[in-house]
Amino acid sequence: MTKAKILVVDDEPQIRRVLRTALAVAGFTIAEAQSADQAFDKVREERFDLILLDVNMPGMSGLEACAELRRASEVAIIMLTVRGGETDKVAALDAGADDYITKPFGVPELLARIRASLRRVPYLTTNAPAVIRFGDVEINSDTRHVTVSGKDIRFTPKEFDLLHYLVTHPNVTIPHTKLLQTVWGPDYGNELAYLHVFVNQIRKKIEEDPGNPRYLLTELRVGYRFRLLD
Amino acid sequence: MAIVAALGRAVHINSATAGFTFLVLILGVATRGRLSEAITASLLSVAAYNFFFLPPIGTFTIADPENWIALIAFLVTAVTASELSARARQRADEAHARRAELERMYRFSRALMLGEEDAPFAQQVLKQVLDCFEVEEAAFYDRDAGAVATSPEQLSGFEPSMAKTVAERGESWRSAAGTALVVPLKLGSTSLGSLGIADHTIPSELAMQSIAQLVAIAIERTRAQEISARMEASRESERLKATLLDALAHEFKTPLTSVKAATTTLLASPLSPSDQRELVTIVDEEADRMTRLVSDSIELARIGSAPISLRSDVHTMGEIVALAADNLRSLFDGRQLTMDVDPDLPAVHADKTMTELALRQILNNALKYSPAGSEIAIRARQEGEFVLITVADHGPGIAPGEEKKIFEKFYRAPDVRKRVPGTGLGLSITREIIESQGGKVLLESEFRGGASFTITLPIASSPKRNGVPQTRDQS
Repeated sequence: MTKAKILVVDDEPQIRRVLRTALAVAGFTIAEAQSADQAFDKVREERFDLILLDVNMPGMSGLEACAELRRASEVAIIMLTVRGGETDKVAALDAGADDYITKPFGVPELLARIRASLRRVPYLTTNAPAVIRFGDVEINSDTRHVTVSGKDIRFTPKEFDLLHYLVTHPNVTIPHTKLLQTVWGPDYGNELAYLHVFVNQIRKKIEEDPGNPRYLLTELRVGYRFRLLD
Repeated sequence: MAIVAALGRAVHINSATAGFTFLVLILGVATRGRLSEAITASLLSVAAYNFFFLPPIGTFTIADPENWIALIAFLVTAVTASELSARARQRADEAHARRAELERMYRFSRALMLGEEDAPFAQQVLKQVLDCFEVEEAAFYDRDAGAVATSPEQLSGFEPSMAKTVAERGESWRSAAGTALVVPLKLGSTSLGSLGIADHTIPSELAMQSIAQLVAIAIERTRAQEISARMEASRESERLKATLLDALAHEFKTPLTSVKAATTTLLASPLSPSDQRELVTIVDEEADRMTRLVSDSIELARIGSAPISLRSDVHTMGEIVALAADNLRSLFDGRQLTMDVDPDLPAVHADKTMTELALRQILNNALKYSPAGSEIAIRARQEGEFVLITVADHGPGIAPGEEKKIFEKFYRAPDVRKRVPGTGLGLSITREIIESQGGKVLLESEFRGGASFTITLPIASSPKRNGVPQTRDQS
């Protein structure tokens, strides 16, 4: 297995320094950026599997940088921040981050989150066909492409995984915990905010009226259900 | 009378004309003078009229009873006219007194409302009462304060305890001789205290009650001001606590993150000796950084709430600059630090720890706000009687309109408030430290072109001071 490449973006030199050693020991290849602008340069130069992005940076903030990176790339992004409030988490996920970790953190926890973000749901275990169609939407699980009315729509890896799992398990209510553990990994289960943000993003992309969805339905306090009528 | 009589005789006027002339004379005397003068004038007129004009002329005998009527008319005119004029005069006097009283009350209320902020309220009231009523003695009792304030200290007109009694009872008291008066200070039905005066003549009770009303309102007003000042102070200290806690959380979490990440890696995986050494070095450096953070936080909180205490001595600026730069070494992150310190720079007379703390705030700001890898220049030079230390960075500079505000306590510019951790205390404390040593903190900033802060400190005037620590307190 090739080493996954991680870009660490933090203005704190000591934090970059310690992550450089800790992540290298864990078997990752590391690159560093001191600011959002440097990160953009690095991303243009080479492809990364994951970006660890600090929220509080002088110049362009981590949240703005995350949104900017998302416009051009589907790379996994984990945000690092000192604030652990619910609104801060939602802001990070809204900006397009896949996950969020609060400083100070233990390296084992960080590694678990990195693995979860890099992890892809194994599609082969489902018997679903490679291409699924409903309404104007077409999902290709081989190429990981989604088109709506023939137009290519960009999905982040986690968004795609979530949509794919829901579509391949239609018409049943899937509990929050089950969705979180399937898409993010076994360490997850209580991060309801993640689901709300990602479901909203998916609705915006596939539903005609995201406020009044036809396919991706909320089952209050239980989970979500994908309605497919054949 | 005699003139009128003589004239009358000389020009041979008849008795009726003479009678009218006397009448006019009496009227004149009655309106100008007192009643007794008017009666005297009328009696004299009767006598003169009788003697010179009524037959038999030259005697005081009245032949005709009609002449009695003239006499009575003169008397009635005298009494009525003088009565009328006395009444008018009295009214004028009253109006005058009322106007004077109103003016006094106006002056009194104005003086109370504008009150000197630093004089105690009781003293202000006493001074105003003495001035306005021009009385010798005054007493003021504020039930909340619990003590009777008097001017002069020893009263001869009444016992100070009377002030308390009046305040408790809520009823005025007047001394038997009428030379002392104490009235309660009431607002609605609550008695706030009392006000007393004593002198040979004292104003009316009504006037005193009006003044008492004004004082009661002023007490209420002062009390409301005190409450709002206390609330403002507690809000300020709440804000201080919140800002400090937030900033501390941020500032401490950064080194804590490095430490935690290093130790968890050390614990979790087998590492090469060089990796181990690198991680332990980071822990060591970050522990030093936290130590500095702790002592700085204590220093900042102390300076923020109490006068600065300086332990001044003679130092070269070069050593203080080097110390500040050294303390921040781990944060340079590839930034070029150029130091241009004139080797012949005269020594300064300063508190080394405090000056280093001040300089470190400015250098730390340069590191916090300038891009990684950019240049930060420190220059130390002499200009006249001062040593100037300039720290220039290539950060975003200070936005127009923010140049003064950034020196205010707790102020943080809106564009960095959420992004870069900080207390908003650094620059205000820098200025406090430098100015209390006779120096200045100057800012030259080009928006988006970097900021340049200059600290000036007076050069040590007498080399004899060398080695003798000097302690002085400044507020």
